[in-house]
Amino acid sequence: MRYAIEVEELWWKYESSDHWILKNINLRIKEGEFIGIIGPSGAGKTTLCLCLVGIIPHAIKGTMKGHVRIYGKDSRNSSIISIVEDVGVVFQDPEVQFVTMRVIDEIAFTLENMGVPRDVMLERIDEVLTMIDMKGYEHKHPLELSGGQKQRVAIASMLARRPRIMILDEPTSDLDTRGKEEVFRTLLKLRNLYGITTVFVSHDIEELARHADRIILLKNGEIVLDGRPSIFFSKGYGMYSIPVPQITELYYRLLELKLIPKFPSIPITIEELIPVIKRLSERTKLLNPPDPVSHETGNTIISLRNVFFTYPDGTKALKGIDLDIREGEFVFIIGPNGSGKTTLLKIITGLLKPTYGEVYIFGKSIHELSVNDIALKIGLVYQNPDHQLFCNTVYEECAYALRNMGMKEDEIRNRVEKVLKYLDLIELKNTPPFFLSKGQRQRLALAVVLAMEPKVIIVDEPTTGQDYIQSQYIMDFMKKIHENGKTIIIVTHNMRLVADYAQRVVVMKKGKILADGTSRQILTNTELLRESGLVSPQIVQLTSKVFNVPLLNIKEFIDAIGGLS
Amino acid sequence: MTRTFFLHIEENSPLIKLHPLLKISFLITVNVLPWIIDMPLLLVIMLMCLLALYKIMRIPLKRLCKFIVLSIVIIQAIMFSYIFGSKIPGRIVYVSFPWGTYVSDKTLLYAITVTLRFLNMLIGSTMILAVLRDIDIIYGFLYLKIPYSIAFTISLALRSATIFIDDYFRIRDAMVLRGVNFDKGNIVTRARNYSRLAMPLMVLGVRRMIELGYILEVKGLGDVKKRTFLYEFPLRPIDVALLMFMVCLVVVTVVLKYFLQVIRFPGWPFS
Repeated sequence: MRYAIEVEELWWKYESSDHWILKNINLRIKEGEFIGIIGPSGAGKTTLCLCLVGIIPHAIKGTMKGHVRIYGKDSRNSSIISIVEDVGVVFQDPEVQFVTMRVIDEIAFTLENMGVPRDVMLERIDEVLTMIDMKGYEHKHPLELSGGQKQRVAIASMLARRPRIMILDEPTSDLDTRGKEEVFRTLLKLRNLYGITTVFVSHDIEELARHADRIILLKNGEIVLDGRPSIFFSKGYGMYSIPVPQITELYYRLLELKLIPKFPSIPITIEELIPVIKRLSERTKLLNPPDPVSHETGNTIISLRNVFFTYPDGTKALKGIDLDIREGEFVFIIGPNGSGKTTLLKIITGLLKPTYGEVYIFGKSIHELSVNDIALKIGLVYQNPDHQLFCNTVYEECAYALRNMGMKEDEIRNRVEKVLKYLDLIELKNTPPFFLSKGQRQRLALAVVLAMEPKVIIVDEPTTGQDYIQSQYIMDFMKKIHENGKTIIIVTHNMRLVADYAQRVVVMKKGKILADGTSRQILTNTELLRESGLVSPQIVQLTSKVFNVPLLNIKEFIDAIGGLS
Repeated sequence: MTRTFFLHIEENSPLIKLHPLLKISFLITVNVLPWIIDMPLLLVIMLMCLLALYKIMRIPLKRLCKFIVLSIVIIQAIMFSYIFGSKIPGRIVYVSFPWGTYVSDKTLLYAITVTLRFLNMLIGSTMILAVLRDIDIIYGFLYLKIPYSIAFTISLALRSATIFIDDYFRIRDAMVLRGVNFDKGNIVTRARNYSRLAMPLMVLGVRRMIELGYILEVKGLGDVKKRTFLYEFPLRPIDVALLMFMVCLVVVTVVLKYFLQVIRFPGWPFS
């Protein structure tokens, strides 16, 4: 079999950097293979993708050693234009990737650049739109599509050139479950039909475990692990503490407890673990799982009554929302892209005024309060920290709001240093925020809000672009804040986090609240999840199938089999 | 609804369906014509015609609120600078300032005329910009024999401007949530608050530009010689007629003013 990509002793450092970003990368990818790449932020994943497409060394200055060959052609001796005849690339943010204003134009753009005749172009556009199941969307503006559709259009615009290799750099990190499924389904279809080689960078280990032929772990610019998913996760779990699929983690926990025998090859999908869990269920008396402990909650502090909101372009984002949030609650708001979650947050924080309906914040109508008044009580942490940081240093960033509140400098210093210590940022207090890593910037965005000591903290997608271990770190932190008496509202797509942390879950779709209940009520309602385009975590699926009693997470599973005879 | 650079417009708006060359020509005409005309009455008539066109073309003025408010602010500034900063001699001097300028009958006339000129330009340009899409710029410019690279750069800049506006509002919201009040305080405080928006906007802008650069490379932009085009926009008879009308309008105005001197305003200070 031919190699589509060969990377040989590749070293790379940026012109402005003192250290090597990629160190001695050796990698061979066979034609038609589906390769997953994972690794912490700053590991060099995006840099490697840029090398594979020739942007490095042609468009970015730096020092390169070693070779990258695409179907035998050395990237150093080929222009980007000749490389991209074979390679299509999709980046994380589809909105930045679109350079035109209609789906059909976006797909045509690459073909026009190649000089494809108009009649052939029309045929190819029709072909790729069919391929990605998007016939009928030709004249839509790409920015008006759902997250999954946007990435499919980004893929289609590359596919139209008929590349033999597709490189995708975290294309699913902002997508809901259905969007992710759409992207993976499309890629698998392409591989099966046309044998396209795929390199997929992602934190979504469960999807990679299901679909990838091989997974590579990149750490500090080096490939430290490379193997088939089962081998990769079995080695990675012990040696590198990498996040593993929930099902694999359950296997290891049960193995540690000596409740199941060792498998020749570790399970990475639900189907692989079902037989052994069935056997376990035969000798197990399952204890009834309790609902997640509901803390004592107080008075209603946020109340929305029949709230509607329509944007100036006519989009009806909220359609009759009734919602009460009580003091001390830990609430998750979930729902597919475009369900109105962010609009709801903007209404609660006063950034948008409802078109119709009433909103009460701490008993006062929102019409009597300014955004500044609300901000003292409700803090909002944005999904993208770069929209929230604008001062010269980390310290100044945290002090900024406090100065606007008219606080004295001594008090400001005490509060800021306390919160920076709490979030492990104190060493960086004089560093400009834009020099921090993305994880650090996200922590700083949280610190900024915490310093204001609001009673309610709202966090919009706190775990985007983070692996499960990093996500857990952030969520454990949120839990600690909640235990200290804050009311927390989290907006997320990550269902594993919902299962692990939520007390109350509000499900939204198309501007309406579909359901409002405990995490168990929501995550075990398959009909509801299907309707809202969400998928329950692997453990819930597994236990529903085997025990008929859905368990939410590993801890609950272990507790529930306490009656093992 | 069709999404343009700045708005959502009804698909059946006749302006949307206009040939790209006509949209660009209209944009040029509404920016050239007011500078030829120096009679306030004619400028008022032109303004009325433009406002009537908004109605005929089904362009919702309500959705252009932000642009119109901005236009009024700019026009106010222009008007005051002409009223208080000019030395145009007049028959009647109403006020004299110690720094050597004065308000005279001619100064006021000049200020009104220049204000009407800008008003025509802004109202006319806003109407076209409201219905403009990337293909209009690219194909319109190509018809005018302007190279594709320039046409594409302009269209990309306009598209980036809409993303920039989104970023601006997001960052502004984040600042409001941290206690900044953009509507209160003296001019220094306000300027300082607005200046703080610059840093994140710049950082986001630079990051986006870098990423966009990569995207254009991987989309194969560069070899413009062999470039083909998806659309063909043949000029229909109605397009030719409208185009001729616009050209005639400019030519007739020039002839009437400079050669026949019939629409020249008699009291115009720069005659």
